[in-house]
Amino acid sequence: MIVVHELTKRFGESDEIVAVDRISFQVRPSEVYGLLGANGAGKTTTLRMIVGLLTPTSGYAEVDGVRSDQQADDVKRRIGLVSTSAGLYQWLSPREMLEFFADLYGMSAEQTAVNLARIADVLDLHSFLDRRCSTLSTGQKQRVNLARALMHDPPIMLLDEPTRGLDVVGSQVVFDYIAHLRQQGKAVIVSTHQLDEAARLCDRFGLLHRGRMVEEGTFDELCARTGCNNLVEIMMRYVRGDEALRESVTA
Amino acid sequence: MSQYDGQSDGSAAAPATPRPRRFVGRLTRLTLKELREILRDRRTIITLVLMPLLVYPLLGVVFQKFVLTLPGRNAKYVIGYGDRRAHFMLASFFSQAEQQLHELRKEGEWPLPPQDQSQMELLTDFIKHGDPPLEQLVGEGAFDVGVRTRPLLDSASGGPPGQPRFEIELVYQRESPSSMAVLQHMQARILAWQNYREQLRMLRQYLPYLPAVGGSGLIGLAREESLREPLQLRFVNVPNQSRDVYGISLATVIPLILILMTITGAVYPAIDLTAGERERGTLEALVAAPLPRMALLFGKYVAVVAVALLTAVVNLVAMTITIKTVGLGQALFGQSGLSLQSILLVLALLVMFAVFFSAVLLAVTSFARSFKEAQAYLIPLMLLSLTPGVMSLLPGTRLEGTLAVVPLINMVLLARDVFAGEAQWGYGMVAVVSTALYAAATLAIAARIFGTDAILYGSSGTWGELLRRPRKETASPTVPMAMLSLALIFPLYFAAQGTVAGGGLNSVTRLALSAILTALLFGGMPLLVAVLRRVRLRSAFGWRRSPLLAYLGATILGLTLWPVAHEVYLLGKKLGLTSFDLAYLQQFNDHVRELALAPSWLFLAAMAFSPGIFEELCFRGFTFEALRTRLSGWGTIVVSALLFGVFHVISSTLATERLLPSTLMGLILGWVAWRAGSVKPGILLHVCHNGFLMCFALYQLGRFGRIAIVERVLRSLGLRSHTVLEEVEHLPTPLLLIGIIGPLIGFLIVYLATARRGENQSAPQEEPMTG
Repeated sequence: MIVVHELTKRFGESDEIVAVDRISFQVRPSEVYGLLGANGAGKTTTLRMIVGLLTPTSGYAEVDGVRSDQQADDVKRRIGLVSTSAGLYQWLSPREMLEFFADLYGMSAEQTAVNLARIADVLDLHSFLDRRCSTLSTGQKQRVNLARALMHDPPIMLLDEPTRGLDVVGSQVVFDYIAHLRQQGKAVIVSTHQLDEAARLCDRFGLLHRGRMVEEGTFDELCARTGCNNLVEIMMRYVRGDEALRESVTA
Repeated sequence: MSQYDGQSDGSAAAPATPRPRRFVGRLTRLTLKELREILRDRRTIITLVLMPLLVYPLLGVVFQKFVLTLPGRNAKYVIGYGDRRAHFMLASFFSQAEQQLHELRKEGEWPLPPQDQSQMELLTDFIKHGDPPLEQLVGEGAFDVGVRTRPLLDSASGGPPGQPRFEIELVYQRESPSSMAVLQHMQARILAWQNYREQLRMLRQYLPYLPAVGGSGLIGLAREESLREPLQLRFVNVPNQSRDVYGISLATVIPLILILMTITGAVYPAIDLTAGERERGTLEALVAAPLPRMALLFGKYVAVVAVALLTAVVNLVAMTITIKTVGLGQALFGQSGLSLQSILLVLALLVMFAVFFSAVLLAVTSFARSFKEAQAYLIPLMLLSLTPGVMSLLPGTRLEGTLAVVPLINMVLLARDVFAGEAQWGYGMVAVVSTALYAAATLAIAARIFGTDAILYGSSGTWGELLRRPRKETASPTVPMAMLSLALIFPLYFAAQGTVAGGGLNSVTRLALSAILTALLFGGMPLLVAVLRRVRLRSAFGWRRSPLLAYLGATILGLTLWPVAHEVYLLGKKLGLTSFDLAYLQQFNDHVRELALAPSWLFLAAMAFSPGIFEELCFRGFTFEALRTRLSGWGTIVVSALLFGVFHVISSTLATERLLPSTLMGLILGWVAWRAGSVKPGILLHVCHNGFLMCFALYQLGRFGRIAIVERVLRSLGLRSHTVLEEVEHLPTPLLLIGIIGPLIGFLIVYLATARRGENQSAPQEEPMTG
């Protein structure tokens, strides 16, 4: 269970840049929550605050009742993070890297072996499990990253634009993976630009615009509230609103 | 593609609760992973193996062909004679020896040092009336080598025939290449002459069996030449006293090269494991793992140190092989050449250096957001490192005073002295301890930088945030904060104390400065760190309420512990922990007497109150509170006591005798602080201990007159008012009894007074704060 309450993050010498502005939402187990928004809306910053990588300026994020700004390690243990910019250790093989991360999360060798075998089946890693990471294709690398986040079998998964740079086949792997996570009972937050796929995958949505949560609810609720037919339309409405405002100010 | 259906293991609903694993084991595996990654990279192998294989043979050739031959090319050298007899004895056989050397060279039987392959123009000079001594003239470079004779003990009686009556002293300067060149030139001829003389002596034994007249070559010479006296030589090395930079000590160049190569080995891993990791995008996943940033950084640090050490070992081996192969051992390191002991000692120093510089590299590269940026930062760092390194090459630069605590210079100079067999362990220890502290402090800084918002997410974080005071106040200082504070205190105190002691100041000024210095450094530095890092001051210094009886126990301990400390001091001396002799002791006591000329209150303030209060605030306050967040009770007590002991050795002019008693006092003070949960009783104990001993010293000096009752007590204890405690072999039995019974009572009172709170030792931070 993830609880985000009035979460705020400001940057700059005198906190003049507001990256995330008092957002609140909850994600329950077996639920996939789509965190949507244009570039710079504050999606990634929100995810980083939930994990405890960034300290909130105010507000808090709670994972299973543990606040990330107070007990970051306990929160990190419960979360699997797939970051948009995640890379691999070029000189290690996927097996070595996955074992290394399992060890970082305090897993025993036996547990690691069991989980590795299971995840390798799920993500079809067997054919390149012992090759150097530097020799893998983009899709294979992303699969290793998905596996890394799942190695310690966390109840919460945060996926930050997991399909960026992937082709159709690669993206499909990610979508199947998300469906699998839901089936496993995990609470999942996905930040993505692929709104059509998000609409198909996610149970609920939070639309961020300029650091604020402007819309939240299920697909039907959002459409009913905004009078739009899809997520793209809803998002464009806010972007155009900005442009109209800018034009009126200029005029 | 696999299908996910039916893969559920039902574990998602419950939080992942990984089995607890031993932290050290995880750290080891973390380090091994970093090492595996680094050593698989061929760029590491190039710096590790190929560079030394290329550099040292090349340097060997350069040294042999250029540096060592430079002094011999068309240069003029001066041999200065201290007396006419010396000139007569040496110069008269030089022409003969030259001829013998020529013969031997032709037969290829005589190995020649490289510089002897050239023609040397040797000038002769003599000491004149009013000239300084020969040592000074050689030290200043007026003479390259000085020669004088000294009569041997039996010269008055004439001694047995054929035995030397005079000893010839050759005064030279090891640091000067020209002096070494002349010395080796002379040695070659003296040896050749002795070889020739030995041949004649052997032939003479057979003369009765040879034809009575005639003969040629050596036989003829053996008939005609009367055997000269053998030469008894004595070599005297003098330090360089010249202000002119006429030559650079090659023995200094070698450690500098080794150190620079060690840096080179550490540079790539340091960049790759920090900035490289961020650039590859693996850093975020790493800091998202439930492991303290310090642990992650420490794993990387150990890996960098390991690679630096591997580089050091490979370099040392390559250098040794080169020196042995090219035959530069004696030319570079004097008569004894390059010994195994020197190599091992220098390796130990390289370990220290790697420990320090790896931390510096990690701190700098942790700032960088990319490989390129890290390289840009490191170029100025390397140049900065070269400057003190080159400074240490200058003749006359010695490992003493403030230089002993200047990073890099101290290690280069110590390595040079080790190679030359002239290392002074006292200053060596200062250099090693200061380097270790700098490493700890730098690592603390690196841990603050590594993986922070500003580095991890460069665009969204700012440097200002990195330096900004934390928003939230914390109760306890961290170990890195304590290390940083000690690393600042240590060199500043050492340098400032040296300046105060050698500044020609009167006793009042010295005492006042000493008291202020102690307060500013031991109180001020931790205070500054605590304020900057927003640590609650009372809890940062362990300033808590404590049972009144604990103060009573501490007072009794403070007044009665000194006999035990004295016996431990004697034990240390018996164990060989002796750095000064009776003459030094006399000098020390004179120094105390001189200081005691100042007003008594100032003497007590500087010697008892200031150290008692501020050393406690630093060691049992700030450092203790930081250590207890990471260590067990006894671990905290022992580590803080060792730091206290080492500090007293360094601060008291390297008196090793103080190691055991000071560490013992540190253990007792630590125990009291732990039991009481407060620094306050320890302050009282420390002030009482120092104050009692200082009052006794003042009484001995007659500052309070002669008090009849005190005299009686002293007599009953087997002491006199003029007894110098340090010179007493063992204290009289009554005093020893007091030294046993008093502390036992003190311990018991402290124990009983704190018995209730002792049950809750695991949570000292929950102690109620005063005010």
